[in-house]
Amino acid sequence: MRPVRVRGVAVVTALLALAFFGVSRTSGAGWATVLVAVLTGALATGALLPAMSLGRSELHIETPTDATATLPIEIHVTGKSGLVAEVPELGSGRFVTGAGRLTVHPPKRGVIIAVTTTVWSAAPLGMVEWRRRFTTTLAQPIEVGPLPEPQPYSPDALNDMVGHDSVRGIRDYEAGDSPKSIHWPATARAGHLLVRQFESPRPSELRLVVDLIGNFDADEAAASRAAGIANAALGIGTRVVLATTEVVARVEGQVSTALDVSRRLARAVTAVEQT
Amino acid sequence: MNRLMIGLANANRKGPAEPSSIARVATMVAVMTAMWAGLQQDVGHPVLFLLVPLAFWFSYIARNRPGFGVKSALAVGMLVASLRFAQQLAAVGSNVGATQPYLAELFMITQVLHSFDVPARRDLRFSLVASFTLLGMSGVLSQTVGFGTLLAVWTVAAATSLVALHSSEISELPRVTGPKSARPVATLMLATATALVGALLVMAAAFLVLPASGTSRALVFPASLPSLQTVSRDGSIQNPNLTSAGDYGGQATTQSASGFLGFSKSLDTSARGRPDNTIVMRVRASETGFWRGQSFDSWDGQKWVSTFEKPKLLQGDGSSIAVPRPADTPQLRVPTKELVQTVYLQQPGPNLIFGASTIQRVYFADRSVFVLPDGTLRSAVGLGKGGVYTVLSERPVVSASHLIAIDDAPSSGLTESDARRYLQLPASLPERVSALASELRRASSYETVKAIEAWLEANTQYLIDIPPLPPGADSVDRFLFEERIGFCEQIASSLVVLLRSNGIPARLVVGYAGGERNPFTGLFEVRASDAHAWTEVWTPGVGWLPFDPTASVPFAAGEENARASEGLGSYLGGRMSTIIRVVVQGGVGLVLIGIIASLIVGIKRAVAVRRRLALRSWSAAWHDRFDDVSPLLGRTRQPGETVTSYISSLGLDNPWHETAAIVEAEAFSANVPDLAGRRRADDLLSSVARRHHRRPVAAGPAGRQGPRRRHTSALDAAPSPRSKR
Repeated sequence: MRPVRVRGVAVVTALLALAFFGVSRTSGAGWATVLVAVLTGALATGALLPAMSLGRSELHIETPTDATATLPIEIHVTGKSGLVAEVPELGSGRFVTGAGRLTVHPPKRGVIIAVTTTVWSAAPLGMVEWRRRFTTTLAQPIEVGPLPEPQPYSPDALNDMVGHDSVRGIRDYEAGDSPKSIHWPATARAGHLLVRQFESPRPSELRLVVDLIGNFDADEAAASRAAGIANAALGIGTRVVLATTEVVARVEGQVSTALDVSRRLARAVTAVEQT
Repeated sequence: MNRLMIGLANANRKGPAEPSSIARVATMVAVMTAMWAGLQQDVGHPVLFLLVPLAFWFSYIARNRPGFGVKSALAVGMLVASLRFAQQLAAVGSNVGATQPYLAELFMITQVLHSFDVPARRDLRFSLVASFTLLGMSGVLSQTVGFGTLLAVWTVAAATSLVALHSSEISELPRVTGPKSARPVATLMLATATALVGALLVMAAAFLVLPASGTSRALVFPASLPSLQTVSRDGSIQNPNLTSAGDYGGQATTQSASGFLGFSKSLDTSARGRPDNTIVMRVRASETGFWRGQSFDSWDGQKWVSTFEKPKLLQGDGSSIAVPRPADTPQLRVPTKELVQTVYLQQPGPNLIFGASTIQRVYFADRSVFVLPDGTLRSAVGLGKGGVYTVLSERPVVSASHLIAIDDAPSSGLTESDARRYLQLPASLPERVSALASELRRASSYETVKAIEAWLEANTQYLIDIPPLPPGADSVDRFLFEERIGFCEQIASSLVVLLRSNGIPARLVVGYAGGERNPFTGLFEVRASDAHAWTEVWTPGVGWLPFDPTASVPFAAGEENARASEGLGSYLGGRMSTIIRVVVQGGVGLVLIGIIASLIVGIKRAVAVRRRLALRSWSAAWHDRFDDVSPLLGRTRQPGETVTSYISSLGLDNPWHETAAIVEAEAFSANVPDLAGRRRADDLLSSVARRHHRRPVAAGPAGRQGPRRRHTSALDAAPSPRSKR
């Protein structure tokens, strides 16, 4: 804990105290001495009370288990009220402490086990700002998945990738069929609406290998894209297998929900980071 | 140059408007307090004081406007004030001291003008600093403890302002929202109280250890007189407190409770008079001393008179008057110390100019004074209440060992006539007085003085109410051998007579004892009851040295006050009843202020709640109730989820769909549902709550974000077709 910023009002107070001390010594005015004492009191209070306040401060943070990078989540904060704090890992920005909820935006993908909280105080007079840092181990880690890239591929392209649009034959049009599926040459020949009948869903699989290289921007973009592709594929019923490197081992396994995707990608690290 | 301009532009850029009304009001109170303190010292004009709230009000309503017009107008105002100040400077010429009130007034005008443009937090803080400077200026001029009240008010206002400004600053950040609603006013009051208590403790500690205010080292010392009415054209003593100045044949009598019979042409030790405790003057000096008024050289056994030749007129140079050293002053063989004393007269008194030891220079509003051969001064004009003069004295610094070591003849250094004058004794002096004197004679003058003081201490007692002196009796003989009780006049006279009997030149001096030091003002408060008589003894190589056989105070240079708090205990102890009264009155006042503030806050809050309720639409209130009961239907409604989509997701049928249509019609369109429809919608919620045996208002924490709202029926809220959720 240390003072980090002496504000203008404190500097001016100190200068005034010095000036009035000089006045007191050269004018013989008793009240000038009292004024010096008042300024000294204000300065000492302004400098020490924030330190005392920070010395007794504690901040407990409860987070949800999952989050998506840059999207808001609510965390629960318990601590002395009226201090200014920041939890960079959770992208909180500076906020005023207290007991209750706070919306934060985790800035990047990853698994957060502990957070470093920086707390400032210049209260109550706003003269000298003190700072204290402490690390809090979260009761349960928060897995921050990447923000899925929206529509990385068009549905048709995705269908092409997973092989869903192979035409098996044609049949009569039924209410609810997509106009896009109408087979116009056959309709013209038959004189009534006929639609393409696609090959019945066959077990199709999307295997995604996420190979992170250690470049932050490139890795985040890759994870985002992987999440977008995986979620889109899951959305059309495709089996998705994700191959990533986690801290303890290389993992290759099926993901069946968007949450699975988010968690797997949250844990993904570069091969170098694997232990 | 360009960077400089950019820097200037940045420094003058208008900051965002400060939203805290409390900070504004507190700053205004601080500024007004400082202005009032200035007015108390006759600086500035009451109109300036009255302009402050107007200026703050204007600044408040104009806080969001571009400030160019206001700044331009204020710049013109400052220019006019500066020109006026320049004119005043030209009028006073080289008298630097006379410029002080004009400078202070210019500062006050600047403060008022600045108050018209304090939109931002930085401006309010600047106002606080400026107001402190103004307050400090008044404090330097202040002579009474009354300034303490203003300082206390300013301190509370400034602390409130600083706390409110800091609180406002951090309120701009996102805040953790919890179930406990914040009570900003209470929090602010608590923070202010904490800051004040902390500051008070440190302040008290600092005051205890800070050195006392030092010797005045101004270029020009204060000197002023309320009137320059001539009372003495020849340097004779004039005392408005006495019926007559006690001519050689007559006896003066007091006509004022603060009058002292010694400030007269003679001092009759058979007269009885006891001055009261009226403060007659306040003295700013770095150390205490005897404030000499005049001396007497001739003793007839009952009465002291001055037989000095006619006082000499001294002319000054416009600001001060140099006083020549008395003719009998030797070439000093000891170090000396300069003592500056500024005397603030609180009561009309004699035309004596009081000063410690040997006066060298006097700053006096009249251009001339009279000086007597003993170095004492008299004014030609009357010295009334409000008069101020400053005396610069030279005081020899000697030690007891030095005095004992002097082996010159006691009269050495005095002219023959002066030696005769200061060894004069009445022919009728009783023999037993001379015998006692011989008995107490020692090797040196100093030791003889100490021996006599010891004898007096052992054989006499101090008493102010002594019996009248029998006609024809010798006052000293009566005191030493008969009554053995007396006060300063008898005691000091005895010392003079016993010393003269031993051939040691001595004289009786009257004036005031040092007075009680007020630890807050730093001034010595001299009361009428401090009027005193003591003895001055001729010491070869040193000059006249004071000895006070009455109080046995140190004879040589007094010790400077080491700390600012010197005398604080005795000062407060002597005023305990007053302090208790002030504290009780202050406590009652604070309670009253607290009650009024609570009422204002309560009314304000009630109005705000009422206004909020009045502004809430029926559909908004219904949504709140719905959110309270929604957990009972299956799950909490998500933010942004409409009632229709919510009930559809839960598979609820009518009347829910019908109700959703009614509610959303009001919330999202201009269609105001009829009263019957609204009542059905309300009843539906109530029925859900009843089914689950709970009131909707008591819904659990699963409700939507935000504090619980208190309402009994959504119908209480007014319909508002424009309201949107």
